[in-house]
Amino acid sequence: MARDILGTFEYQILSVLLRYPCDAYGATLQERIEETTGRDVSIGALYTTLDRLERKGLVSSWWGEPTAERGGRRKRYYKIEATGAEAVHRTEVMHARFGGGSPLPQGT
Amino acid sequence: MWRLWKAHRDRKFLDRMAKELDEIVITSNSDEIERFVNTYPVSPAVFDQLIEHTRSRHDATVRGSGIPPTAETIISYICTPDRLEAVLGDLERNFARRAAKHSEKAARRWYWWQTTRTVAAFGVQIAVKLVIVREMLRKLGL
Repeated sequence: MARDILGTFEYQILSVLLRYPCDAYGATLQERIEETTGRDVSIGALYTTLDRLERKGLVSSWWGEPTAERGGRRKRYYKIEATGAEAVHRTEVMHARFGGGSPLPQGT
Repeated sequence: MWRLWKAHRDRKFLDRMAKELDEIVITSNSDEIERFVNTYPVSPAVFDQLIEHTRSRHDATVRGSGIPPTAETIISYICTPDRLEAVLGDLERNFARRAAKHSEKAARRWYWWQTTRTVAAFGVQIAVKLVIVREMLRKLGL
């Protein structure tokens, strides 16, 4: 069970896939995570994590059509699976248990 | 004073319109096209002319800049073939957007920064695999 708890970046990617399932591919995922967290995300780290999530069966992917904007290259679309949604829920429940829903007072 | 204010207002209006046209050309999003047509009372012929003008300006910006070839080669070497197409495509898309939105220089800088971080991310992955293989070989007594 403990092994099913997601890492921070894994959780961020799956949350974005869960909340914005349309048009979900590398560049849009990168933009949405950067908008949400305010942190710079590298495309390399994103694809490495997506590959890991796919191997675990939490997401699935397929190739899209090539577009001129991408220099004739195809998009790799991603979709969260039921097991991925469960993992997000489990992680959120665990974090809520730890924090009790409120941040710790400073200096503790 | 009134004229100055009116000129300023017109300029801001045109800037906003140009920005929205840029977005339409980059994304080709049908919702954005519909919103534009509803917001600005222009005939279809004028709309087509505006799009054509924006597209040629945008293409010139992208062509003039060009993605740093060395950075692209580095990514091609470090990236596994199954994800290379998606990675390069995403980088090119974002490069074009940044070049149009900010400047060519900023887009190139951003591309190099992404290349450095991508090398780091994939490099760590390769190093971890090498350590695992070495451990397996050691356990097998090879």
